[in-house]
Amino acid sequence: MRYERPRLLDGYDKLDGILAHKSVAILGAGGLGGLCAYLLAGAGLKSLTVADDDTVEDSNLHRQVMFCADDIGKIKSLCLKREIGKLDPEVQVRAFTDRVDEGNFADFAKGADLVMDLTDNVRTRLLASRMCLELKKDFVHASVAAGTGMFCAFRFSDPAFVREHGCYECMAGAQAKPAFRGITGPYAETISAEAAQLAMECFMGTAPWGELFVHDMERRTIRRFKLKRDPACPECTRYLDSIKE
Amino acid sequence: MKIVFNGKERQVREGQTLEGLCEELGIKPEGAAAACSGEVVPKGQWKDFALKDGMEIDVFSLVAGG
Ligand SMILES: [Zn+2]
Repeated sequence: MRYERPRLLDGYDKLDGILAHKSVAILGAGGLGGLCAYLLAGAGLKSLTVADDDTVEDSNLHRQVMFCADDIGKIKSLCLKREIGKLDPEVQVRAFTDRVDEGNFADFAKGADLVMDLTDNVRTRLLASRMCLELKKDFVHASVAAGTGMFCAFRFSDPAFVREHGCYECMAGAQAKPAFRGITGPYAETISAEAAQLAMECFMGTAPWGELFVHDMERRTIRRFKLKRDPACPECTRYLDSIKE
Repeated sequence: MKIVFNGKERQVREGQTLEGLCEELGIKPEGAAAACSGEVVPKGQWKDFALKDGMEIDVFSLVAGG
């Protein structure tokens, strides 16, 4: 009964059945990660790892819809686990409360069919792209600030994808340093929902792998660009060399 | 020569590179991404990416939030 409405959509009749056997690891339980995890659990995903060592602050509540005033001071990933438990007690949520770094990334991503970078930290983002490439795990990136959001899916499990489209670092550079900007609740949660939809498409076989979407929410336009590998990217080169052997 | 920059025509000098144009416009490469005719130009290629007459260039901010 729970999934009867999505099942009415073309291509979605098997989605909950597919998600029931998949696992997703999400970096960030805030403005992007929180709602995204909740929507995926709602869609039928039964196994989730959510990493966030931040605590809920008053200044989060205008956009991080999974938390309430009583949560201020509590660890975000644990609050999110609690909320998903209320939605569907069958969902196994692993709250990863350590800061994700090089040393524990493989543990964080263990068993995941898809890793999602929904963090606000660019160092973690670059690390995630690099580690997912190394682990050959499919990877979704989304970020948002001011009125602009961007999102894309990297099929790192497929060498042909990497050869053509590269990694996050190819696009943004190893020195990427986005400016800190303001944000509204609707802007953040629009991109969060778009990330959840993209993850579902990854499992349905309809994802636009290798396309970067730039959503200008002020002008209400979405531009799409094809990601391209930088032949000089050391991370992609290492990956492609490891395939040859 | 003329290019289309973020949807608007713009005069650029012969031999200008993508990196040079961004510098001229005060756009910091570490905070931006770029595409030419719908394909992302990897950051590592900006320095040598020569603009040509009629090219459609999009430069947009990388965003940090989550
Ligand atoms: Zn790369």
